[in-house]
Amino acid sequence: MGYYLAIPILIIAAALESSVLPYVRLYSGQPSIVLLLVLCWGLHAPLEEALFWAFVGGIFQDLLSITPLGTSTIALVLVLFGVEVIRKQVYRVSIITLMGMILTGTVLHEIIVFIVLALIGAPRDLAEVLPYVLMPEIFYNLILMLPIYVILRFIQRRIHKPELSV
Amino acid sequence: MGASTLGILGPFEDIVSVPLNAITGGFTRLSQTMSRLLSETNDVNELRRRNRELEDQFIKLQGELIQLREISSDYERLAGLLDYTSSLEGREFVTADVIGVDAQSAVRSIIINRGTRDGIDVGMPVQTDLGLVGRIYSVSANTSRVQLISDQNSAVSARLQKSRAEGSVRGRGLLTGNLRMQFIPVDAEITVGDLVVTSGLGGNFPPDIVIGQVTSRRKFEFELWQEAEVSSLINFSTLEFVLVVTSFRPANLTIEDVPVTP
Repeated sequence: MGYYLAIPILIIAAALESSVLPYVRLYSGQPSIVLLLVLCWGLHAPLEEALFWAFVGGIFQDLLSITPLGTSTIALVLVLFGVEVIRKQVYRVSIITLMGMILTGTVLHEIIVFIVLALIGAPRDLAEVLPYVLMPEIFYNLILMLPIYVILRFIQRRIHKPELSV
Repeated sequence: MGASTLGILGPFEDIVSVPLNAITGGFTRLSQTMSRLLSETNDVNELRRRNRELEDQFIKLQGELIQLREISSDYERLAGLLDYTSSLEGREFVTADVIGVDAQSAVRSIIINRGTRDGIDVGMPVQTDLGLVGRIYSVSANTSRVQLISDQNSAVSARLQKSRAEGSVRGRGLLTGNLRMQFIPVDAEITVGDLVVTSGLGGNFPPDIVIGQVTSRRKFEFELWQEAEVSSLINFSTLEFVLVVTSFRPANLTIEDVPVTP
């Protein structure tokens, strides 16, 4: 069921990122709704399902960008693997853990996109990306992480049966 | 990613992007309506003050217009004598609505609702009545992506209108649309407020399209070039429609190897 939900949720999120969220940009940064959805969903979903979300979310983001198809997908998949490593170290997800994951995920995501853009010959100026893109993005993501996490967790509890540990 | 760069995934991208662009366009129209409603509730006094300022400016501009008409008429007579064709004649435009902004915050591009079906092709310049917006970066059947001149990887051959000094205008990637004109000869005169226009060198853009206005200059004693900060007249964050110049094809300056017969 989680696989089917990915497409409508992420298509709306990508459309919002491209249409509505630019109106709330702080300097050049805006909330990364697709990243937040992928990370929050991936915290409690099976890895395969989370990877599907990352793949689909990345495709939709790249279709609304001049970056080649696959740029955001690579970034989201790698960030998801990073978060998976952290997830296995913690017993339960607290707000501090969530903040740490979102912060790490946002920074990693921008760094990976920065590297990919540099590799394809479209480098960005790091001195401008860091203060004007990354910092506002972190600010917005930390504000939005809790409501998005709560909503997704509510949906996941409805569709995923809880694992029984013996 | 390699397949996308080579264009192999073009049909897949075209199919998947149709519903995505439709949803994005809907959200964009809604946000533009909301934004317009909010901005229309401005202070009445501010509007009255602005109205007075505009009326004064209008009177001044009318005087200038009369002078310019005289100059234009002299120009036409002289151009006719020299059999000179203006570069503005014969330009064809396609109007396009802006339906989205690049989802990557570090990239400055917009999405418009015209594509190959409307005669749009990669490299075509995009402008508004206020000046240059950018150029078509990629195109599908119904939509196109436009790289803005404020993007960090955008470079436009430009010229200062008064001194005719040439340089290259690069985007700084910031939201405000600030640009920087580089490689201006060190002995060139840079005047704050001077207009910067496309020079046409390199063949990527037609000449004489306004890019912006000089806001400050930077000159260092031991450098070979000087720089100027340029502010675009366009507010890229509130662009609603643009004009694609369909009659202009960027020049292909690739040197092809021609086999030499012995």
